Amino acid sequence: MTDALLKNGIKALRQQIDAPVAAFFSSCVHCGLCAEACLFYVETKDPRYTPIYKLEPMRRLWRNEFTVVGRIATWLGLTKSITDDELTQWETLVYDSCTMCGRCSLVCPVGNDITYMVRKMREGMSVSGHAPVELTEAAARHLDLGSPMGKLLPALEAQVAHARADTNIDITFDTPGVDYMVILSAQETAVYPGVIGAMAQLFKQAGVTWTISSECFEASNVGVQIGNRDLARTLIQRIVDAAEKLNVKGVISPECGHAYQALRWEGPNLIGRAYDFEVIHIIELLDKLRAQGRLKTKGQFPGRVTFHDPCQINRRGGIDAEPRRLLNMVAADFVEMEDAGTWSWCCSGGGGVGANRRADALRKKAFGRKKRQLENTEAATIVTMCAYCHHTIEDALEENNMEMEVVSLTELMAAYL
Amino acid sequence: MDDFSFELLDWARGPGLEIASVLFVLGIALRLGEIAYIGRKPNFAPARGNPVVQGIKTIFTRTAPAPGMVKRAPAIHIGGWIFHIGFFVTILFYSAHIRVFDDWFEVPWSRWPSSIIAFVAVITMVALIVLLLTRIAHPVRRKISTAGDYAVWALTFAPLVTGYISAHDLTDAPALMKALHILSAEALMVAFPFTKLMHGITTFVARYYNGAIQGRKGAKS
Repeated sequence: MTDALLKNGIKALRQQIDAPVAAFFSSCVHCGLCAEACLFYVETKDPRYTPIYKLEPMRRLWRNEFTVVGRIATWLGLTKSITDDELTQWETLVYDSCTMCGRCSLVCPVGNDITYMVRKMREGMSVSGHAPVELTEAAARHLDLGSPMGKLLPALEAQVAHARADTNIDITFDTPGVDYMVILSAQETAVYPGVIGAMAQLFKQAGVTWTISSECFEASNVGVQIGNRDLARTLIQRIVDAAEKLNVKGVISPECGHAYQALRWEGPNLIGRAYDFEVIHIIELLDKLRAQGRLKTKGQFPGRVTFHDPCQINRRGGIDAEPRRLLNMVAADFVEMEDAGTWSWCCSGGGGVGANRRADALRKKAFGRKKRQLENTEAATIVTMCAYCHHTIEDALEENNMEMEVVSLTELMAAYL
Repeated sequence: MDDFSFELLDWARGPGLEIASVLFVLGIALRLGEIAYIGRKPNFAPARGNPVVQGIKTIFTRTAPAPGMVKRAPAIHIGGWIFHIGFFVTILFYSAHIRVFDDWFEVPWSRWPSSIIAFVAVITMVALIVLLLTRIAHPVRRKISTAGDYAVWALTFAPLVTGYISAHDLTDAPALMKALHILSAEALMVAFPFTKLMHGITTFVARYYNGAIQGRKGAKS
């Protein structure tokens, strides 16, 4: 059984090796600078957390099978194959100590996109049975019940009913031909549902029509986190089918980092074609509406606020100036954290780390960097645009006895219409 | 001994150099061919930015250290810069090397005074020694280092030290030292395509891909 899994895992990993991977491994000079950009290394000083080291099995596979010298060495019996024990050891490096935040990919002097390769390495890990159990369970729930938290439609219907009552705005399910289909992360549906009413208010003012599909409303994609293309493709296809059935002009990717990465950037490649609709992040859309003069606010948040950049939306997604333009409309005292924007440090819970109980202690230690930066701002409120960052930071604030609140940017904007 | 030295020098200057040059060029072609052969799948995600422009831009911009990184790893950055610049200066602007280039390319080439080249060679060797020490002493660099890293270090250091000794007549066997210098340079040429030295070429490909991946998303690189 283990042999078969290992064989399939190696096959999956082999399929991930492409020209960029070959160029990256060919270029690595083992300088170790990527470690200095890694949250897990800088907060623990453990050299095993050096980003390029996390890819060692994949590097060997490339060397042994995709280079002429490596193939000759393998033929002569001079190389070492990947073993199941080795992948077991690498589990904690590939899943527990990497949020795929992308800082290492920005500092590498030879240009290696290490995050791109970690994403690929996870494909082999997952197929060979080395993904964290919590992510595997979440994947099964997502596949069978529609969301990583299980069956959420009744909860969503209840939250929508609350939002209707709170805002006096009709929020519909399954309305065809509207501008946008809204999808939500399970975290939003279950923990931060205020975003539904907020969107209703914002879109009403801006004259945007929208609906929610009762057949597919889940934005997150465990397949992308765990590294399973087949699962990721199935989950993306559900969204595509729902959007095409409703004949919408676009799908709004919600405040969720990896959902944006999955739907906007990986999705078309997973299903092998461009979508018939546009995908736009909620904050990107709000900023567009602002620029068109369709989004106007009154008043400003009274206290000092700072902003946390979700890695997958800013560094790996390019949405950098948009939230700042919006925040400046509604926050009188907005201060940036050190390294804000593209160089922001991860909340420490992304890439599946927050859902992985084995990584709890490490995640808490890794939060140290963000903790110090947050304290230095002397802000009482942290605004962000990712529900999972929101959740991770909120938990960490409690663990560290920090009296700060976390607020969704979409909800903050709606509060000042 | 003298006969052997001169024979070795003749071989190094003649067939040795030809063999090394052929292996250097064919090796690079093979390695680039390996990358191109693997290829990559088309990207169907509509671009937010221009991947080609940002890919090309990143080839150049990644030469500068990322913000705050020099402070975090000064020896690697400063040592790396001194080594790379010094190495190319000694290759390209030393008069004895220029005579070889004149024979090959027949193009005018500026030569630097020998005293400056000697100074550059010394600080380049010092930089290489510092980089070796950080590789041995720094937990991260030690962890990720392979036998190949140390072999490549020795292969890079050898032409510098033999060249310095040869240029300054520091031995009683000048012909042998010159032969060893040329042979060490040829060993470096042969090793280039098949070791991490290949980054001298593939870093441009890697930087392009990095910039293009980020550029498609409209993200910085």
